[in-house]
This record gives sequence, C-alpha cells and structure tokens, in this order.
Amino acid sequence: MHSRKKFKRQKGGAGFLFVLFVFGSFMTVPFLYAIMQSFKPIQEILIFPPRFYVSSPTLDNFRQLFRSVGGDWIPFGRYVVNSLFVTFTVTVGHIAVSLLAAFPLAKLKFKGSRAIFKLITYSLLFSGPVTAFPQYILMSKIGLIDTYFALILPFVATPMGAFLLKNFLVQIPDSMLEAARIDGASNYRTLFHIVTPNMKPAVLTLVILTFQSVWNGGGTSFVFTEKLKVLPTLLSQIVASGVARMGVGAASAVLMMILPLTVFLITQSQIIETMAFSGIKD
Amino acid sequence: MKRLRLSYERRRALTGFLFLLPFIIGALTFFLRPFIGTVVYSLSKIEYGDSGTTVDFLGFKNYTDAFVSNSEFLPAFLDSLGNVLYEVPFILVFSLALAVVLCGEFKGRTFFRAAFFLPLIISTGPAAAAAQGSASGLYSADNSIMMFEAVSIEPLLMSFGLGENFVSTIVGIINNIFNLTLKSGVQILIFIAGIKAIPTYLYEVTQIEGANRWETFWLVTFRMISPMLLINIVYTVIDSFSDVNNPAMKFINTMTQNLKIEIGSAAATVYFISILLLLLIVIGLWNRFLSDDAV
Repeated sequence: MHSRKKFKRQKGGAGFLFVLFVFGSFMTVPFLYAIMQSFKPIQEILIFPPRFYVSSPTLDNFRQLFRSVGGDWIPFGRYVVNSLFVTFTVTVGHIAVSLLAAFPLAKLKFKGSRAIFKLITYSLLFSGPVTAFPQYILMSKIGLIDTYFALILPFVATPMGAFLLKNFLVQIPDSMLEAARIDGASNYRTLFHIVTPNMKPAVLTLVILTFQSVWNGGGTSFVFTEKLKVLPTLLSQIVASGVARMGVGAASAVLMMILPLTVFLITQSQIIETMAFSGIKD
Repeated sequence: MKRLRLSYERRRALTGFLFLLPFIIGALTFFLRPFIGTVVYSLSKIEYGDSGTTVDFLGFKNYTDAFVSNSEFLPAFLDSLGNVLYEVPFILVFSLALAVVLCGEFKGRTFFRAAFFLPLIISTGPAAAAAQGSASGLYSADNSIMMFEAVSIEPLLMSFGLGENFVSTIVGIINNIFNLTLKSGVQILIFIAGIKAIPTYLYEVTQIEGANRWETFWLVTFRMISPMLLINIVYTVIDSFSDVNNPAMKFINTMTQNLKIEIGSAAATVYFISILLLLLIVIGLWNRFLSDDAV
C-alpha cells in the first residue's frame, strides 16, 4: 500500500539561511521604507540626507489622500470598487481561458496543437509597451476605448497563463485522465474536477501573478472617464503632482500594497504538496 | 435527425479546438494584430492631417533611419542584448536556489516567501515611484540607488574608514544584486509551484537509498522541474528584453512618445525579431539536449 505519511524535507543549511536572510532584508527594505514615508510629516520627508525611520509619525498623509480625492467629485471608494471589479474579472477570466487553452495543448494533442503552442510562446513577446500605439488604434476601432472592456479583455487573453499552465499540465499522468474518461467524465469535467485540483500550486501561482499585475496597472491609457478609472491611475496622478505630495504618494502606495499582499499570503499558504502522482504507477 | 458521426480522433481535435477558441480569439485580436500593426507602421509614413491620419507605404527607410542615421539605437540595442546574456543565467540560478530553500521546512518560511514577493508588488506600477519617494520615474530599477542612500549604507561604510572608490563599488554591486533579485520574483514563484508538484515519494526513495541533499537536488528536484526551468528561461528572456528600463526599450518608448512612431516601430520590429531568434536558439538547444516534449 502506498503510504500517505507526510514526508518532511531536510532543513536548509545555516549558510543558505544566512544568504536568505541577507537577500530577504534587501527585499523588505523598500517596503518598510514606503510605510515609514507614509507616516512622515512633510518636514521629515524633505530632510536631506533622507532618514529611514520616522521620528514623529502622523496620519496626515492618509487623511490628505482621502480629502484631496474627495474634492474631485469622484469618491476614493469608486476607484477602489473599479480596481476590485477589474482585477477580479480579469483574474477569473484569465485563469479560465488559460486552463481551457492549456488542456488541449497538453493532453488532447491534435494536428496543429504544437504549432499553436509555439504561437503562444512567441506571442509572449507581443505584450508590453511596444505595441501600445497599434493596440490603441485597434481598441478605438472596435469601440472599446473608455469602457471597462478596455481594462479587462486584453488582459484575459494574455499568453502567459496558457504558457505556464500547459507546462504544468504535461506533468499530470495520462493514466489519471484515462481513468476519468473510462468513468465517463467529459473533457470539461476532467479539466475542472480532476486536472485543476491536481495542479493547485500552478493555478494559485497564476492567481497571484495575474492579480498583482492587474491590480497594479495596465490599460490605463484606454480610459478617460474619471469614474471608470482604477487606483493605479489615481496613484500616478498623485505621484505626478510632485514633491509636495510625496507623503500622500507613499500613503496611497501602502494602501495599494495591502490587497496583493493579502492575496499572496492566502494563496501561498494553500500551496502544499499535491497528491497528483500518488497511487499511480507509470 | 441523423447524428453527426465523427471518429474519436476528430472529435478530440474538435473539442481541443473549442477549448482553445476563446484564447485564440483573444490572442489574435489583442496581440497578433497590434504586432502586425507595428510591422506595417515600420514600413510606412504616417501623416497627421486635419482630416485624420494617413498611412502610406514607404519601404525600408525607417529601418535605415533607426540604424544608420540615428546614432543612439545601435549602441542601445547591443547594450540590451548584452544585459540579457548576463542577467538571464544569474536570475535563473538565483531564483532556483531560493525556491529550493523557500520550499524547505523552517521557521518563518511564509515570511521569507512574502519578503521575496514584496518587490513584485513594489516594482510594478506607480506604487514603485511612490514607495521610493520619486516623482519622476515610475519604475524602480533606477531608483534603488536612492533607496540605499536613504538607509545610508554609503556613509556607514565610509565611516568604517574604507576608501571612497571601494565603497561606491560595493554599493554598485549591492544595487545590481538588488535589481536582479527584483526581477526574480515571478521565477521564484514558478519554481516553488514546480517543486511543490513533485511527488514526495521520490524524496522518500532518495532518502532510503542514502542520497545526500546535493544528489537529491540533481536527481529529483532538478529533473522534475525542468519544464519550469524552460518556462523561466523563456519568461526571463522576454521580461529582460521588454523591461522598460533597458536602453533599447527606452529608445523605442521615446520615439513613440515623440510621435516618431514609424522609427520606433522599425526599431521595435528589429528588436523583437532578434529576441525571437534568441528564443528559437534556446528552445532548439533545449529540445535537442534536454527534453523531447517541452515546447
């Protein structure tokens, strides 16, 4: 019988841990610095050379953030709701579309599926600011400019997800899928009830990546109406207004970072060893 | 009504195609078409008239403009290529080592994973600029120097009586490491997902057989995550090339912002074709030597 007892991996050596600690502190410094900045009064922000710690913390920056935005007729909450709506839709849509695309590429090999996968790999190149101008023209031609769709549709079809998931999906043993088929599961059922739970680490990783990249921006030049805009647009407007608003900028950055961080912590704790291969002899 | 009869193979292909359809439509619309647009603009002359914009075929003049008449693009282009060659191996080795460590069972691993994820949040979007107190640049890579001034590493090192040149070298190295680690976030997560998908019985076997950690790594972990390694190679190459801070991308963006879209498009096209070639070489080598079913 196959033993299900959890196997404990060996501990990392002291050397590794030290390196980890050094790099880990590098990584946390800017984050801590942003938090410090957000609590600094303006006099402290402007000190040269800048100081890391805040000596007389204040909530002014946060207060000012809500006040300054409130004056522009659109309440701060509206931006938050827009951001949440767009991010949630894109994340769900992107995962669904990518899973649907990755499954046949990995498991239902048919004529042309290799060619399509090559296309996906290379279309990873097309993203980014290089195609910004033609993309804008395209958006205006199909009438998506200044709609939520402009913020959602292009990101749902990003090739990254299909590319990532396909490479994880190949590792799922064929015998598992055959068992599902023999038991009468449709392809759809096999994909969402058998395959997906078995590649939870990959799917959750994609959730994190999509969530944080959408939450932090993109597509903002496609929308002009203030009430359709998302948080990053607001943030860059604040940041662009110069030194006087540096503290407010830091405050809004801190607010921006809370949600992706929460999503990260939740999903990471869910990433545990999957049982994809247990009980199956190949 | 007569039922449509299809062979199993045909039916499977049809299902596969249906599953792929949403993605294909999206990719063709939002990625392939704009890319074709870029190529078309690179071969055209765009006139901005009162009655709208007209696009006329011009030929390869934009390419000669970008490469021959413009003295900035070629060095920027070569510089970016060079960056990729040294960045990619470093990022891969670094992120793999970290992922292996972060998958281990030790106290505070959630904290450390979060620590390495933080830069991903910070380095993208306006949060970067705001976090580092910079109003001008939206991206962090150039601003990290400022951050280390903020924590005053330089004065600190100098106060130890170290020479100024030595200190600036050290700080330079730290900044480079910082920037490279900034770019490893996604790769670390992909590797972690890969390692977590490895069946634990393989580790039990190596333990029973008496393999040490080093052997276990090469025999189990490395082999089992080789598909993720390829993902990460491709991802890193593309990420490194399309980084807004690399000189070639800066050139392309400046051209586009100054409405010299044709020249920017020509530069972009050449630049992208060269990444494509590099990726073809990498994937070709990979398929030849390391795997037979990766891409």
